[in-house]
Amino acid sequence: MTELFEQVAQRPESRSLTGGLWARRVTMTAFGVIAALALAGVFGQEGTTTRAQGPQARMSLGAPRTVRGGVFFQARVELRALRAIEHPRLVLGRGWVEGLQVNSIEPSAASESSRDGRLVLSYDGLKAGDRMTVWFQFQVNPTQPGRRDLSIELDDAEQPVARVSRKLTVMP
Amino acid sequence: MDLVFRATFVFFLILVVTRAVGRRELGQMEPFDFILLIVIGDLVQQGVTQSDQSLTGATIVIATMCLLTVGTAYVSFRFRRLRPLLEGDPIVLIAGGELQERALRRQRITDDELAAEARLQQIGSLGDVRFAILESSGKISFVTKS
Repeated sequence: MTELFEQVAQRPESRSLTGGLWARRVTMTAFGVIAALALAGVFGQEGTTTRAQGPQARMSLGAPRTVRGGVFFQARVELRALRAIEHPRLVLGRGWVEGLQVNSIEPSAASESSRDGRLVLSYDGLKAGDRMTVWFQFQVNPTQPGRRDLSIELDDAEQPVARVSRKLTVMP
Repeated sequence: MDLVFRATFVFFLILVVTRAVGRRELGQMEPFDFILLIVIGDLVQQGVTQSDQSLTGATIVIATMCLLTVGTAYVSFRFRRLRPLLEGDPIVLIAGGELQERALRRQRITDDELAAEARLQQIGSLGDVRFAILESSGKISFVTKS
């Protein structure tokens, strides 16, 4: 009976034991790095704000730069008219609705149209000093990872007023 | 970031729940307990990953859970005083052939259950047992008089 144990006990220590120990250590270190990067917001969902200003208006876009498949996220566009804007239009980059489920856009645009394949949302005129906030609620399509254009432009009719350039990374 | 926090919270919640429920219930699972465990697993998944269906999210949660598991095992190994809190101490159910009624009552183990466990280990009578110890794994180990 004991020889079954003795055979194992007397066998020289396998090199795979030492190798396995180091493999475990390396794996746990990699896990530690992943968790640390996640805490630092590298893998998404941290919202950041980008601002732009023109002579007619100030605009800011608050949205995450990186998102993961399936998650909900919000983008908020804030406008402040410095001068009257008769026909405010938000011209969205192509990435705004590419592979993203649009749950809601509030306030809804008075009309929607397309300009060179980009979505254009038209709102009622703004007087000097007026503020407007538009909330976009999305859910990420998990089957379409990649990097896309999340830039946005404020136009007065066809005339550009302010432009924010952003990219959105969708993690697999 | 939120995934790491949620995974950490759930890890310690599960740790508290398993310590509170008692090792006997976890060591000896009835069909009801088994189904309950699956239901809890599903609820935990929803709480941790929510709508996240990404590989990135799954990797973050698995990495966090592994780190916490190894971390608590290391803390338990390194600090003896924390061991009862994290793993629990062995509990003596029979000492010197005497049934420890208080310990049995506290662990909600009946004489019949103890006898059944003894039979499973080829012990014919509780009278033959010198020591019975409820291990932190929920299993009962027996030392016979012979």
